[in-house]
Amino acid sequence: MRVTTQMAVGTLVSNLDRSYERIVRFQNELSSGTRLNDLSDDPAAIERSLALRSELRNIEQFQKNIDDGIGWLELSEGTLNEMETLFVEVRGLAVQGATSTYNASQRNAIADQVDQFLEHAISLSEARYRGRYIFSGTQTSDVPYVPQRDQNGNIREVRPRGNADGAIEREVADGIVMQVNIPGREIFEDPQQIVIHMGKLPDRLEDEGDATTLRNLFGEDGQMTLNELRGLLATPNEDLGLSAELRGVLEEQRDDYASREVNPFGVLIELRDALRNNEPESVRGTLAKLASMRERISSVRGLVGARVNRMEITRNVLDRSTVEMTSILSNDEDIDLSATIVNLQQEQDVFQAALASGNVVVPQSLMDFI
Amino acid sequence: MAITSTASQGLEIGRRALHAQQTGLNTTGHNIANANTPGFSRRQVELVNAVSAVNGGIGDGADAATVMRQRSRFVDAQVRVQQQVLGHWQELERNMRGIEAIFNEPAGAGSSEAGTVFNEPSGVGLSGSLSRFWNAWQDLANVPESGAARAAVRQEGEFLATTLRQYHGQLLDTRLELDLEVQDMVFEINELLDQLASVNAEIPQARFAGGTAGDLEDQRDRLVDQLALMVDISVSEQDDGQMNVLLSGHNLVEGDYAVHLEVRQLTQNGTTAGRVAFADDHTLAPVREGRLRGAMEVRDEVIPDLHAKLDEIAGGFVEEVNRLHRDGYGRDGSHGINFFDPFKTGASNIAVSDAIKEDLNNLAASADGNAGDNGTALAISGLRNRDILAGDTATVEEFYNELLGEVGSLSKEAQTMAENHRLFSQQIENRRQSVQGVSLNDEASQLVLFQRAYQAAARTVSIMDELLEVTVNI
Repeated sequence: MRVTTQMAVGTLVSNLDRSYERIVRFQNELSSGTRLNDLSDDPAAIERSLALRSELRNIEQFQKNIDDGIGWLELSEGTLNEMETLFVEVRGLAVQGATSTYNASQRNAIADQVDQFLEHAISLSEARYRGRYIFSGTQTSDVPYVPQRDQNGNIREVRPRGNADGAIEREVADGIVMQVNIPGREIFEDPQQIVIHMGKLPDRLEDEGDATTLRNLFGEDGQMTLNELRGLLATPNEDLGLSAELRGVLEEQRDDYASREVNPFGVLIELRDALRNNEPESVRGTLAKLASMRERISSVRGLVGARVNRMEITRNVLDRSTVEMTSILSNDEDIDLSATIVNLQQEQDVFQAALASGNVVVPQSLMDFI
Repeated sequence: MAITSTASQGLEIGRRALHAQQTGLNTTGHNIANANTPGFSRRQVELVNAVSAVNGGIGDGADAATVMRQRSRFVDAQVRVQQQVLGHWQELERNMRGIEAIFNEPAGAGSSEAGTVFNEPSGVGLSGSLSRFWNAWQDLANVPESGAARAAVRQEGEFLATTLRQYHGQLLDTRLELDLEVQDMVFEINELLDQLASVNAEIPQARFAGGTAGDLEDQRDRLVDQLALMVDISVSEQDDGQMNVLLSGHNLVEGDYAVHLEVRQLTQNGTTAGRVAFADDHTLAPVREGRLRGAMEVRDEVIPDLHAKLDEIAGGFVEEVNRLHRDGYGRDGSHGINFFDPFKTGASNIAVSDAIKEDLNNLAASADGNAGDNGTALAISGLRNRDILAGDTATVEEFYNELLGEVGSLSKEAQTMAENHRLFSQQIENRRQSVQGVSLNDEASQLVLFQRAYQAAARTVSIMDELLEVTVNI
């Protein structure tokens, strides 16, 4: 092909342009550290990277939520721990007070101590996390329990206020919500949900028909709450058609479990008054309630511990996925430093060669020799 | 019969040779002078041996018969087609770069995350605003009683609305600019058409006057090239050298008569924009290629599409957030309040409602009216994972990321295609230059050839002169 001077110059200039454009591009990548500087640089990678980045921002928020939730739960755990200790000590006092060798004034002295514990129990129920009452359900700005005092300042009764069973939740991972508060009712009021397990109850029945009826009543999971059982037994027997034996067994269960219903404030008041009135028998009567109270607090504390564990496991999972996502992100976004530098160097060589060859070829023509 | 040849004949041959070589030298000079003139086609002198019947077959020397304009019609046609496609993609490339930059706009302004200047990944753009909006609700869910967390939610809500409005506004500005650009292009096209018509008018006269119309034809071809870059014309050359130009079958230039294009303001799908029409019968002119097409495509297709998508995001947001927010309770027990203004549901006007702007207590976090409940806050932040857009098939983030991917792909496609066609154009241009371009090497050798021939011819004349002198002095 015939090559003219303009062609030679035009080709040289456009090659120089393109080479220079690549140099600038590599330099831009090197100075910004990323190969995604514009939406058009790699649309697919950018879509991926945007999704990952917003996921990372979510995780950051989840971690904040978890930290807050753990803070809340740990305060609950500490409070419950103290509560449990309180009942252990009160039970020790009750054992002393029940001893027949103690006299009225000694019991009165113990009653004073129990009163102090009662006041302490009230203050524990008012535990606050960042200004919010943790046992008040969702009415976090109100004190959960209000003591009613007589003219001497003695607590006669403790009344719940607010919705002590409202749940407060934290989102700890995509769509996973965990309750962080222990509703006060589970600790400070008579439990609504005492669960009766069927266990080996059917074996105690002689009549096979009764055993089947019993199994049907407890259902597939073999559980029934105390309140359900109460409701059941409140129904007239004509409607239920239970045999006398079966009814007896059920009523026995009801009474057995009913003794586990305890109100911590109530039992402390009961103990204090029994001690004041110098009634060792009544004092002895509170021992079982105190023990079951302690047991209940302990089991709730276990629940709290389990939740803290779950949250911590979730946080670890989130931490791990953060690391993984960051590395995927880096794959998409970050430049391969050594490769880019080598590319830049090569492009620079090309550019210089083009400049040099232009310098040699363009100015020369036959004119120089005639 | 013996051949008789006279010295005066020799003089005549010498004179003609001098003329012929001088013409050659002048042509070469013209070529060299125009070596860098765009659109110039090099000239070549056609020398013929002058025929004479009287001098016994010796001949009458040489004549410069014509000066030929070196040109390939075939390559010219290729260039024109190529120009139309190139113009289209270059215009798309330029405008898509601009649109891309809108979504990149605040780059660097607040990119706190290291190692990136690209604003979307760094959380300054809409994608980041979205994340921060959801997270502000989560923060509020952690402390539903808090006034500070409420203030943060409101601020993020306002920021989100501002970002959407800003994107919408910048796209609108771009569209208006493009509308003006279309008008400018039409104006430019009309100028070219006028020039072409007047060049057309001169060509037959120049030819008739016995000269060649080479320079006018160069000018004509150059005008047609420029037109082809703007719009998808087709051309036909008449015998008299006039070039007729058509746009999808409708005459634009016929001989020395030019039909202008005009811009008519028409409203289509709720947007008013200038459409290109023929000035003679006012029918709309279909434009399929060229820069004009590129500008119109972005103005009429890309930007309205992006506007519609931003509107969908804004609309979905306002509706869903408001629905959940109305169900919740504010700190002072207020209920049924909208978070976003329910009458402003487009990306152009989305705004936080007055009730929220005036009193933070109206901001609802609680689902049951209790201060510590965070049901509503959790529900609103949960919208993040709900498919509320594109007919309930995409989350807001997915939808927006897809939009960005689309902008990026369009821009990348335009860049790649423009680059390809630039290369292709250059190859064709090289082919054309190979035919019509001036090579200084060629011209130098021509110079030497003609110069030597001229010198020799001059020598012939001087020898004839000496011969005549001898004869005269006998």
